[in-house]
Amino acid sequence: MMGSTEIYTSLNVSAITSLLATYADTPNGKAMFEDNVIPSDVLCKTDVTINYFPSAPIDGGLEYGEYHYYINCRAGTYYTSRNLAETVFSTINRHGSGYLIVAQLLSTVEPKDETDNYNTPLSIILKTR
Amino acid sequence: MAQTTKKGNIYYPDGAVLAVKADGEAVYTDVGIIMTAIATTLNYDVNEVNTANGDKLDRQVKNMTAALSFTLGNLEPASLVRLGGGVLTKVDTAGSPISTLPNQTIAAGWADQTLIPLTMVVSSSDSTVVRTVAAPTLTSVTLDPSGTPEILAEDTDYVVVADTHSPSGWSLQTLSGNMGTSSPTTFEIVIIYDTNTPIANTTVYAGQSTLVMADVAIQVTHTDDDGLIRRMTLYSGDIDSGGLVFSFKGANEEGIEEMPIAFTGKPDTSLTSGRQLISWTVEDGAA
Repeated sequence: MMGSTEIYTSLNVSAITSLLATYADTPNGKAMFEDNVIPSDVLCKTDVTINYFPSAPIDGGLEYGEYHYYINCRAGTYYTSRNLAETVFSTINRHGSGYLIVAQLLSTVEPKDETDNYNTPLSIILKTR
Repeated sequence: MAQTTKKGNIYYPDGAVLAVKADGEAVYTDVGIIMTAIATTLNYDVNEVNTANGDKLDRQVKNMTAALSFTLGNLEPASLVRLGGGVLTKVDTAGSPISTLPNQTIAAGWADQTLIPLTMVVSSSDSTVVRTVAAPTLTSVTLDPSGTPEILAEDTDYVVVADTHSPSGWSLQTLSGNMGTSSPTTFEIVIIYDTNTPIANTTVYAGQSTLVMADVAIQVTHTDDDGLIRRMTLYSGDIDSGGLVFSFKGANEEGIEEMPIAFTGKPDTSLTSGRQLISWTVEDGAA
């Protein structure tokens, strides 16, 4: 997907992946999903996950690539969700080799019911040539 | 359809380091946080003559200057003095010696040959940062104090260097190759501070009937994640009148205290003609 390769490269570092649950069906074996829905076999109360997806239209009139994504940092507790999000923020914000990501760290959203978990989202802008 | 695919020199806005070299200095010093874009504009006077009965004569330009402006957020007195080109002077007034400086622990996993800030605070119950004019006196620097202690020797196992990025104004840089302990970076280091005399305050002064300003050079550099740079250098300039504004924002205002700075660069005639005012360097592949 447009922009997702760079985002995956930026997220797939040990500082971030060491905080995630394992998940067999992903390229890096970690609970990191390019999707706006978490797989149904993820245990929301115990597994720590990241999922990322586009959050705004892609402007075809631009002469360079600019992609807006959400990165959701989910966990069973507020602290774990927040800690993961802050780690992601400090790792990817204003970094990139041949591209640049600028991130905003948003407020943590509490679970809406007993099947949900804490989510601390980041809103990012990825710029590429 | 896209009209061109030529985009190898697209650069991503990511700020830059602005560094200043005052007259007589050998190196550029980073001034710290900048709150706005750093813009440099090339200006010159145009002399173009329209004849009454012939073609317009060639355009001649002269009096080339470069106007540079930015808003400084890190209001460090030493930087202001550098930017001032002689308009400002600085005096550090020493305070009373402090004997209660708490120990500092550098956690295991420290990076060798890297500046590690020496962080001194008044006491274990007062976290006021202590800065010193002179390099702080250290009673001891011990590697692995809770295991097999090795007393580290200054100038052999480590050096203490002035560092404007350090809260105290000083940093420690290890030389692990000289240490006796095997794999020294896997052990913590404990620094015990002796009595040290802090800087109590710094005062910047200005005001005299006349002054010949000293030249200042400015370098603006962006470094990408691959270590490649884009850099603009202004070889010689002076701060504009009105270019130093000392302000105290109201509590109802946003952001931080800032200082708008305006500079005018002029040709340095000691340099090669055609290269006397500015340079803009881009390393291949820089983002």
